[in-house]
Amino acid sequence: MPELTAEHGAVLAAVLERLLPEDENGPGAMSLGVDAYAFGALDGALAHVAPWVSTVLDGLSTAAERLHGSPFAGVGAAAQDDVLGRLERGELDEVDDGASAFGFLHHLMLEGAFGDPRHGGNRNLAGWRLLGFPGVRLEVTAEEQQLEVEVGGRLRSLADYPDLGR
Amino acid sequence: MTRSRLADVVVVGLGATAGVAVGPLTQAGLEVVALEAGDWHARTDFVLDEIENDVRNGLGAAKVNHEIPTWRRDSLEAAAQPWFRALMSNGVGGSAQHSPAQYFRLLPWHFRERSASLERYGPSALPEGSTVADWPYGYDELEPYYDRVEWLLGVSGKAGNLGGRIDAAGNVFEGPRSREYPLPPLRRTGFTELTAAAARELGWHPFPTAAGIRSQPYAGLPGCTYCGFCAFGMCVADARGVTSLGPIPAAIETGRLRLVTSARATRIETGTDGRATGVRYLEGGEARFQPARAVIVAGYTYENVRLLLLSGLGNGGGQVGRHFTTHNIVFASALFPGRRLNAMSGGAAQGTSVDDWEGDNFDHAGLGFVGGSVMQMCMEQKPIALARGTPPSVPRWGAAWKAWLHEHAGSVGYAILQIEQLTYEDFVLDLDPVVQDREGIPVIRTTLDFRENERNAFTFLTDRLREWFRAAGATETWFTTPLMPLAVSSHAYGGTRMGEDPTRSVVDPYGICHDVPNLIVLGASTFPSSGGRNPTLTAQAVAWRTADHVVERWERIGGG
Repeated sequence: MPELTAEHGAVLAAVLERLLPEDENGPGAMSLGVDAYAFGALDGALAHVAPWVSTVLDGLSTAAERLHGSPFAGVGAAAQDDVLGRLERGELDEVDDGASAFGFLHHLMLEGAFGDPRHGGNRNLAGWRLLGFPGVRLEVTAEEQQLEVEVGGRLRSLADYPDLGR
Repeated sequence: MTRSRLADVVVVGLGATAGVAVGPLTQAGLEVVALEAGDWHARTDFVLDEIENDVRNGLGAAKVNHEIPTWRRDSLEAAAQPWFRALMSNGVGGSAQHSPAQYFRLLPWHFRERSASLERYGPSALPEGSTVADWPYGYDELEPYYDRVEWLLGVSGKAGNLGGRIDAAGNVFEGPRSREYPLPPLRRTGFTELTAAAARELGWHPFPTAAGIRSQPYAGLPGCTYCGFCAFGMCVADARGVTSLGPIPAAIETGRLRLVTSARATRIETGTDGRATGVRYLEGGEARFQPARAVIVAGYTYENVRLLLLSGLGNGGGQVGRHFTTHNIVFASALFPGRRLNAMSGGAAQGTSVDDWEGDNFDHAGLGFVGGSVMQMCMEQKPIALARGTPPSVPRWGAAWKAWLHEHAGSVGYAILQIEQLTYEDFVLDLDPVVQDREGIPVIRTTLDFRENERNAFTFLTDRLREWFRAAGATETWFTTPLMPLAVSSHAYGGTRMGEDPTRSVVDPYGICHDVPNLIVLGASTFPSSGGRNPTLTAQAVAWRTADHVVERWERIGGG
């Protein structure tokens, strides 16, 4: 993650955890490894947008300082939610086209939480468990496509099929 | 520049259409060279991975992802690459390799959309500025080719009109077909039956979605296993009816198809007599030239237009790039509280469709639009899309969003509309004056917007869809796609329209360029109207008809 400093990493992790917080419904972004996914993606497939992401994260920190007196990673959850809400609505002077920036970070969270764990997130398939997603299956039976049927069996990911996947 | 041996035909793009056409061409003894920008893809690659496929479009890495067209609503706006898009892919077999493969024929009405609209609704039936046209031939002309393609690939479905005999188990609105489908529909599920029953209660006419996916083994190739990762990835079961399995290997087997992969066409050359002489292309960074007696352009709508514009060909009538449109593709979700739908498997083509609101199957008087859309209730909920597609009544992040997913994710069903958008005088494709691909070649610029016709169609058709969801037990329906034109779309039409009149079209009724007698165009870029349904089967039927014509008239087309 050459474009992003450790400070950026802390802000990004905090953002992702607010988007998908740990609670009684299951693990949050950090426990799911969404931050690890995001760092990996920004150092790999999404490296071309890393400079832009770093300016967005800087903007969030400056905005948190202006609105709540401390950098983003240091303010409380409610204050972080307030800053993120303003970003989503495009209301932060510190970030150009905040809605798009929010949309990017939001999608990064979705990918890290609900994508295949081979990319670094969705640890222990807990993201799929939250949705009731039945995992990677090469063959789905007629019974498993009926209404109200509880689909059993071990939850699998691509890691269970070593001959598949590029 | 390396110059290869003279071929009879050089084909640019070996995908859904050329993959069909190379059969009749090679069987007739013609020597064909195909230039394909991508490579062969194995059924073990690009599978079962929503990030690699749906999110990052890994199958478009060779070319598509580096030349995304730009979009603007009108000629006054600056064009930019849109975030809302549905990309094509590269590789032998083309974008059909990552298509969910709903495989409908057009309805007979679509072939005479302009004249039929005027006849039924009067001289003001069509909006001002619309250039929607009748096809130069009717459904009956294409029926034998639809039939051949369905039996070549192993299409799965149920006939609703066998030679005029109507069967309510199939699509009662379809044109007469000469034979039953080669394979029965994809397996029915709890969700497809729930929604079929609801449609019948409404007095509609549901039928199993026709699928370019084998429901059973066919012609030595396997059937579907309903894995749930159909769209945007390769088929892990090799069950999709793609030309890379069957037709292309068979053409190679004749010894008369030479395939060059990772070959990027840059220009069609012509001689002093105005005839095409071959295609320049890049292979591994090296410039090469493939001479040929005839050139077939089959690289999808945007790329067909781009190659003609870059080559300065076919544009004597100023028609290249005109009559461009796409579908207004609407993904809608609905909540069935407390139900476990088990729709997180299978494919989008494993579904229930209705044509009650497509074409002119309903009275449009006073509705302010023409055409319509097939409506499909679909399987294949994938996790990222499902988590992204929560209703607007719920926050889209944080604890409340997470709680909603935990409670309801298994109770969400979804449907697809592909609303017909008319062509208009000012909606065109041209070369972007600013944005270029990695090779420094201008990308395509699209100009497209919704007009009143399209907005009225959206309102009316989404209301019908809400009715359907409600009748099936849903309490809330919402859209997971934005209401904006999908200008960069795997359902793109026009730009090289076919017709009799060289001042209003680029190619003749057989796909031969009016200006260049040995330059042929395949694909939906030639369609005079789109219909509110998937293009691939029709593009393939048209391609086969064109190939037959090229063979019959080879002496003239090939230049003796």
